[in-house]
Order: sequence, then C-alpha cells, then structure tokens
Amino acid sequence: MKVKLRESPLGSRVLAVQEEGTLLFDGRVPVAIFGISTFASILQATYQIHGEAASTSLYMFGFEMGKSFAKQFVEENYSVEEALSVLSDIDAMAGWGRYRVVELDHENKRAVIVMRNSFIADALKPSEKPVCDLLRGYFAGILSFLWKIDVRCEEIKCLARGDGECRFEIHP
Amino acid sequence: MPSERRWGMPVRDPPVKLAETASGDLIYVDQEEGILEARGRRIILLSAITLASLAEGAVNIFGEAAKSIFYIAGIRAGTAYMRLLLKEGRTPHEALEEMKRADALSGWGVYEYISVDLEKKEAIIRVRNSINARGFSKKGSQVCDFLRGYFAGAFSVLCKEDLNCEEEKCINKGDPYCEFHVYSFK
Repeated sequence: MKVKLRESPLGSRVLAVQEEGTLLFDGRVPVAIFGISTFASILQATYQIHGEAASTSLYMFGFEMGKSFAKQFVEENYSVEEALSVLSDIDAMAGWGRYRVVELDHENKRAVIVMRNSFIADALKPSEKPVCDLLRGYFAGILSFLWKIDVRCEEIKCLARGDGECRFEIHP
Repeated sequence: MPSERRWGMPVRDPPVKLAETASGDLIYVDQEEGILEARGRRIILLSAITLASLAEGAVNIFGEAAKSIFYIAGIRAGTAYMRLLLKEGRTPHEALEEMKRADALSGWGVYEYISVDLEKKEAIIRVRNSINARGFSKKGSQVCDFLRGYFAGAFSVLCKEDLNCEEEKCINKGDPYCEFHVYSFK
C-alpha cells in the first residue's frame, strides 16, 4: 500500500539536516535520494564505456557491498534468516524493490531469492538479458559473508527481460 | 526554520525527521513492494558509502578512465533535470534555485553559486557536504565526478552549448568544500 512519507516509518528513520544538505539514516548513515533514471545513467555509462567487462565489475562492487552490509549482522549474532529478513526490509524501505528468500540450504550453501520491482531492472528495462549484476553480487556477498564461504549468484529471471520478477540462484 | 544568530555565533538548525520536511508530502512509500516515488517518478536511497564504493571500485578495475563513467552519467542527469525545470516554466535563475533547494533536501549537499554568468557561459559553484565526496576510503584526490558532470549538464542546457566542468577544490583532498568551475570550450 502506497502511503505518504509523512505516514511511513522511513520518514522517521531518516533525519534531514537541511542547512547542511545532508540526510542521515538511523541518525548516523549519510544517504541521498536519487531518481532511478540518475542511477540508470551511471549503469548505462558503465556498460557503454566498458562493455561486457562492466557486468563483472558491477557484480564485484555488489559483492563487496553485500559483505560489508552483512558484517554488522554477524557482529550482532543474527541468524542467516534474520539477517536476510532485516536486510530485505531495509532495502525495501530504500526503494530497491522487495525480495524474499524462497529456498535456503545451509548445508549445501544454496539459496534462491525472488525479487519484485528490482530498481536496477526497472531502471534498465527493456533488456534482452538479465541486468541486475549489482544485486547478483550483493546477494552473493551477503551469503558469502554469512556462510563464511564464497558463493556465486546467477540471475535466472529478470524483470527487465519481461519476466514477472527477478530470480537469483546462489550456489558454491 | 531559519537559523538564528546569538552573540554573533550561528545556531545550527537541529536535524528534523524527513517526514516533517517538504518531502513528507512529496514522497510516497510502498514498503511491501519496495518502491519510493516522488512526483510520479521512482526514486531510491543510496548511502554515501555505496556511492563511494561504486566509484572507487570502478577506478580500481578500469583505472582513471573510470572517472568518465560518473562524469558522463552526471551530464545526463544534470541535462535531464535542468530541461525538466525549464519545461515547468522556470526562468534560469529560478531553475538554479530550485535545483539547489531540491538537491539539498535530497541529501546531495548545499550549493552556493559564487558566480554565474550565462552570457559568458561560466559559473563557479561551491558545494558543502557533497554526497559524492563522502565515504571514500582513499583521500587526497578530487572525486566528485558525478557532480562535475551534473553541473556541466545543467549549465549546458542553460547556455545552449556543451560546457566543461572541472572540480577545483574537493573535501576528499582536504579542502573545506568542493568547488566547481563550469566554462566553455570555445
């Protein structure tokens, strides 16, 4: 359900220091608001200049970002399920889309994550191939850190390609 | 709430919840779907560290040439935004003031137009708290390539000519603020 920011928990979690032009999430993390078209222009310029290599590099940026995001949950002794649930809520709050874990196999280090409204797919659609390289790396980075073993992630379905949602498969 | 001055010392405005600013009625949130919108356009929140990681990661992999990624992306963003502001009926002066107001409210930092001469196609913009310069692990160089492109794009629309922009000061190299110089190639 769509509500005004004024009525949403996000509106209270982000503090604005107006004379400084800064926003702080939970009073400490500097954040900024971007149109997805702006973010798309960064990704498009990356692909335009570096071609296919951009896909790998975006995956790697996502991987490092996922590891750093997961770190705090390990420090605070969250279970993998709890960490993924909290991250899903925070990322949804940030407008990144809504994901849920549909399979999680700790023993074999495999997982399936399904995402609605990926902001990357929305920004880069239409596309003939999956485009959420940053998110692919992000999920791999989170689970690699939580499982303490490097895993990879593939995007099997993508909203940008016309699939109803994005589907990420994570495996060793 | 405007700042007051007491005994010559500035009193800082306290932080307020974003919900209590103009954004409170402008931004819509769909928590279940993970969607934020403002004026019918989808928006996202990104942390300064995420932005810096993208920029630093690109430079690590592609070298200094990666800086052009953010410059080009900035040009596209600045061009599109300035065109929109003018299309909505603003004068160039009003458009620049709206850009300053809206970007500060978006957490991009505070712009001060030190000099703007649209006839000479030249401008100097000072930015405090550039979101582009925060979160970098490596200090010592100018890093606001996105904002550099953004100002180049915005002023190119105003001057109806492709302009260049250099970042002459940057908080990432120890300056007290970032400063951008927009100028004509001609």
